[in-house]
Amino acid sequence: MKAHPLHALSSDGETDASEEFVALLTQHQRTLMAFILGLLPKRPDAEEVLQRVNVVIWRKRDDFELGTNFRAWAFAVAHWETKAFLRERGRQSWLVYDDEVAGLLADRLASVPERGLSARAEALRHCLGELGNDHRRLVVERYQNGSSFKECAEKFGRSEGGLRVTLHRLRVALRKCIVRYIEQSS
Amino acid sequence: MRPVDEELERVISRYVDGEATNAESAWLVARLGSRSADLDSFVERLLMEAEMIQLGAEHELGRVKGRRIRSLLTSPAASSVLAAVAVIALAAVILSLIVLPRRASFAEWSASPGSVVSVSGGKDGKLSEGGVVKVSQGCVEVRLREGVRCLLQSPGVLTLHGAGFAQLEGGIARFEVEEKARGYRVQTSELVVVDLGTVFGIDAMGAGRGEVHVIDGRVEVSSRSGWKGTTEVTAGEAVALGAVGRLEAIPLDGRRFVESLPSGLPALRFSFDRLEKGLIRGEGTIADREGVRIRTGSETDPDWVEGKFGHALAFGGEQFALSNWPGIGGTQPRTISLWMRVSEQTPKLPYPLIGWGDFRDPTRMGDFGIRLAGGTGKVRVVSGRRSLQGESQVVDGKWHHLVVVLGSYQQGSWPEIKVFIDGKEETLLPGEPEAGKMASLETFSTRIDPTYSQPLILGRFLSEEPRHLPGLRGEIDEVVVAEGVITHDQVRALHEGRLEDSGLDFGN
Repeated sequence: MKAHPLHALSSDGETDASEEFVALLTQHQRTLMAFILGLLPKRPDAEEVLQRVNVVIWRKRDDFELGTNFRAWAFAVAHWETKAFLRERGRQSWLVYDDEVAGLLADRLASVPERGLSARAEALRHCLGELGNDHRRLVVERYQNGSSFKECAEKFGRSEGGLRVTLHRLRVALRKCIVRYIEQSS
Repeated sequence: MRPVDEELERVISRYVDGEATNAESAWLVARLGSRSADLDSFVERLLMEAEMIQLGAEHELGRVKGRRIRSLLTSPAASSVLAAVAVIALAAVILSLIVLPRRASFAEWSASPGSVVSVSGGKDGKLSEGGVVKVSQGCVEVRLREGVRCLLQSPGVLTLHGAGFAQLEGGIARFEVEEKARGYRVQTSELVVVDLGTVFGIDAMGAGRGEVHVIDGRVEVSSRSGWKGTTEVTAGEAVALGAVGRLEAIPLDGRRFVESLPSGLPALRFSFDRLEKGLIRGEGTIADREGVRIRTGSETDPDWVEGKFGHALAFGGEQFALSNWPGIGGTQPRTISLWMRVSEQTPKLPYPLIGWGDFRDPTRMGDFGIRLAGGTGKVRVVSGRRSLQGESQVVDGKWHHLVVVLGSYQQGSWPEIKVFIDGKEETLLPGEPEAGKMASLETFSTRIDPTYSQPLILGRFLSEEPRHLPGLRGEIDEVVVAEGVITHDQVRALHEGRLEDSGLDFGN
């Protein structure tokens, strides 16, 4: 891919370069989110940091040359923004932050091939389709409506502890299903 | 397929739900750092979580039906269609996340005349979230829709991270926060200020420096480094960051924080026309802000004589006028204007006209001054024993108007400097180096440290320079110093006495 500076082009999103930049950013949303979640596991916080990362990357897009390592750049921004966020908010007392592990995590996530991400996404959709109605309702409540365990417990008439166990088992089952599906597909 | 490590999976679940204890978090981090397989498991779980969050955000989770998905996936063509649709949908989501917030204006800005402002993340006076306003000279007003108004004086940078948070780098800023925006947070490199319903000012000029002055209401102030601490400051109080990061009470100085956009660049003017109770008071926005004055009552005071306009100061070689103003520091743009009359010059001795800064360290360009070169009677701009010299001889017994404009600075060369004599621009050449080692051009930065630097002085060399040299023999009138550069037309306006057209704010 030929490298050319974006600043030579207009910023209205209509040029090929801008579209390519947006495509790159779009393509990396899941891995960036996964990375931030690994460092900052509370979802609302992770979503806020991802938004900041997107804004910073977009604002600095003129500094990036297409053809260079977008992923490395984006992960560096995400790492920096996550640390800044933790400093601003005051690090959660239970969270243990380790720069070396953050680096390992970034390396590992950045090395997941695009094809592998697509395969995982397909597999997850397949496995979600295999869930029973009650389990699917729990997933929707947690991931789509953003409900807390307490809210879920009130809604489903169950204990918080019981729902935690259910969701944990459901996640493990989904992960096994994903791995199995990918192995079978390949 | 690897066997599932139940304990690891359990801790990961608690971790991603934000419910892990410190011990569990530490255990997980230790495992991730030492076992590659555990890191793989963690990465797979994170990717799954991220995918589910994304599907949830797209409201796709409730629509996933096993049979429908399975039937679609059985057809390669259908699969590619699905993938294409997914990419388009995702692109739309991301564009709405990234592009639309940038375009949606959530703040507006305007600047005082003569200001130099660069903005990213906005145009046509609008700013979007993440927008950055950099004011190199002058003053800018930023108004957030959420009910926050900020007046930022140069040089400073304000980054609007969102409706409730801004980053301030340098500058002097006044914040007015409406009730609906209570909790608004401003962070500098050294301090975090959280509004608790108030009007407050932050002085973030200079590294390691920070002051918070509360004009109305109250704020919570925290230091970010060193001896960390948090304190609540109420109306009429102020705190400053101490040497080790502790917050110390200081007197309130609300004058420093302008309440509205000035009509021009901040300026200081000494007309020398009034002498009250032994004080010659400065005029203009800088004088109002910092209470600038020259105290008299010493044997070394200059004489008060008739000048070019009204009165002037006359110096006889041993006399000088020392102000209480530290001058303009760093590489900040500046303009100096004065009228002078010099009849004769002792051969080869330079005459100091005006200066300030720190001359003690000869390896740095920490001082800034204007002189008449020894013997030639030409104007020199000096710093760190280096100089730039004009071409006109001004030692002729006539009044001359001198303006020096110092603009942008690129490290390794002189700042952009222009000298005007009687409204005409001079050609500048490097002057003969003064005795001693010259400072590198890399080091230009006028030092206005209150302990070591010399405040603005007229008619004498800075205190650490050779004392055997006599000072100025001549007169000085209508001294003006401004924070910023002015145009040639504005120089001519000053020369012709049209202060209202000079682009400078002299107050009422």
